[in-house]
Amino acid sequence: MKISNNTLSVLLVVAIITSISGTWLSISFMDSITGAATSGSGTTNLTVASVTSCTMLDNIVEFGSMARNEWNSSDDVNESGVKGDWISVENDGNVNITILVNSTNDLWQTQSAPTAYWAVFCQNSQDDNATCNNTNTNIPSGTGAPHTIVIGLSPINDVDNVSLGFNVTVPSDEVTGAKNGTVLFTCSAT
Amino acid sequence: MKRGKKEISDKVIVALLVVAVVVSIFGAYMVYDYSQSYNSQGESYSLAPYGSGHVTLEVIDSKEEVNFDENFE
Repeated sequence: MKISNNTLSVLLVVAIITSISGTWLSISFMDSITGAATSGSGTTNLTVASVTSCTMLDNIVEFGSMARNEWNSSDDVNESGVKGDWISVENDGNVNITILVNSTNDLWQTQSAPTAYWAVFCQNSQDDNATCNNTNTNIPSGTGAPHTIVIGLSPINDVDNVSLGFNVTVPSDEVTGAKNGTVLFTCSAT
Repeated sequence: MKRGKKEISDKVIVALLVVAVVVSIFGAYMVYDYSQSYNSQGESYSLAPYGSGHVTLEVIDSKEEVNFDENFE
């Protein structure tokens, strides 16, 4: 049996109307989900989940060339013509955080962490209420108890940043060449 | 005089078919998009509670005496 174009066109128009009606009905049905305010005022309850997070805004301190027995500090090196080169950590979560530090890759071939040849300190905290431990502390090894370098850093913008520095002394028997030490900063809710 | 029944052309049928398909796909997308607006729970965060820092330097055999404070202006 051959279906005429007229019949096909009627069927297609019905299909289009059915599709549009179905979409409209589906969306209308979603609008009937309860919980929305039905009068002039309404109350919405929600809970913002706690998020603990920190980001390294600057995660490299470059001391340049150093001779054996030479000492240097993040406070003294020059970075792009500006005195000081520090690690910059931002609290980008929504709770106060404590920052812990330990090494994951030794800086020296001849000295393993923890060693006085490689120390860390808190240089500055934007948050005046946070505890910024500015005492030079030998960086613990990856298997040792981490060092607490910052306590109670706020997540609020403009006061959520700390600068962390290093002091290094080249061991007298250190082998000539490039050195790269890596530390892990772990942030936990205070 | 009675006019004969006019047959709708194939082009019109094809056009209606295209419109039907487009309307159907667009409608399905609207329903999907609308339903997603109710699914705001359990969003994942790409945040991490840790980060690495690096210290780099070059150990050389000998070096002229350098006072970093004097070099800085």
